[in-house]
Amino acid sequence: MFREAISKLIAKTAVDTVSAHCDGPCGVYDPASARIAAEAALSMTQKIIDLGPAESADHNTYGRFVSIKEQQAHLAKEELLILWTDYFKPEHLEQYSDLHDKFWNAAKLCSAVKQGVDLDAANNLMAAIEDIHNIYWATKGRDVAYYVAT
Amino acid sequence: MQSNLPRSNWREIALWLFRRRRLFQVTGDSMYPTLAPGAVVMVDPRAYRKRIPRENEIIVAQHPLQAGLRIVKRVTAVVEAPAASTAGSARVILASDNEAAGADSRSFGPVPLGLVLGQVKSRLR
Repeated sequence: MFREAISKLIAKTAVDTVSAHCDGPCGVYDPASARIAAEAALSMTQKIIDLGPAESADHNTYGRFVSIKEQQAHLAKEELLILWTDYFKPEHLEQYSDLHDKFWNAAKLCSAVKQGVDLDAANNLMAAIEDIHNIYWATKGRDVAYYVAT
Repeated sequence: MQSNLPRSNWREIALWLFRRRRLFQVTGDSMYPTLAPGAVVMVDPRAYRKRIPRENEIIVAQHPLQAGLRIVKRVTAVVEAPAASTAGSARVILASDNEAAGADSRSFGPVPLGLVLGQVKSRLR
């Protein structure tokens, strides 16, 4: 009982903190995860266009293409938001003053790719991610070449 | 196997009085249920002067990638140093107790012993 009270008093003097945050600030980020999702969404956009107006036999295929396109566009947006909000810090913003605009526009492009069958938006999203790739690796002081899978 | 952290006894309190323990308040819930957010722990900064950490011990370490961030984690493995090198190059692999948090595959990898700041010995609150 007495020890408990003493412990509480002593505990109040603790000023230093140690972090046990759930998202484990691991520092492992890579714009490649956004690029892969965006590239998949671009590919599905192209496939939907190539398929043309769906005959009844193609409805399942058409539905799958649309579903995958939407999933991947959404995933690309999530990955971009993680980079934007978790990795990038105020000091990066000083160096790249248009960083917020770039992410905002890239996220908007993800929405456009998700909502429509818009090849321009899908290509612009890939370009935006390439841009972010270059900034990201520059902040890490590393020269990492951008590439695509297809 | 996880083990619970003992509450600070009189001995721990005496060691704190003699500056052999440092107090840290825990933020975040990745060590729940062992350590709830707001818990205050007593850390022995000298624990690893003569030996390296062992599996299952809870430690405080400097985050390998974020300067100024101290983390509290459990040691899940100690990676042996290559034969030719000194003991200082051994590394510890750290994990969270909270399984929901530990499910994230992203991790900061093995942590050099030099970044380990001490062992969590007991919990005040």
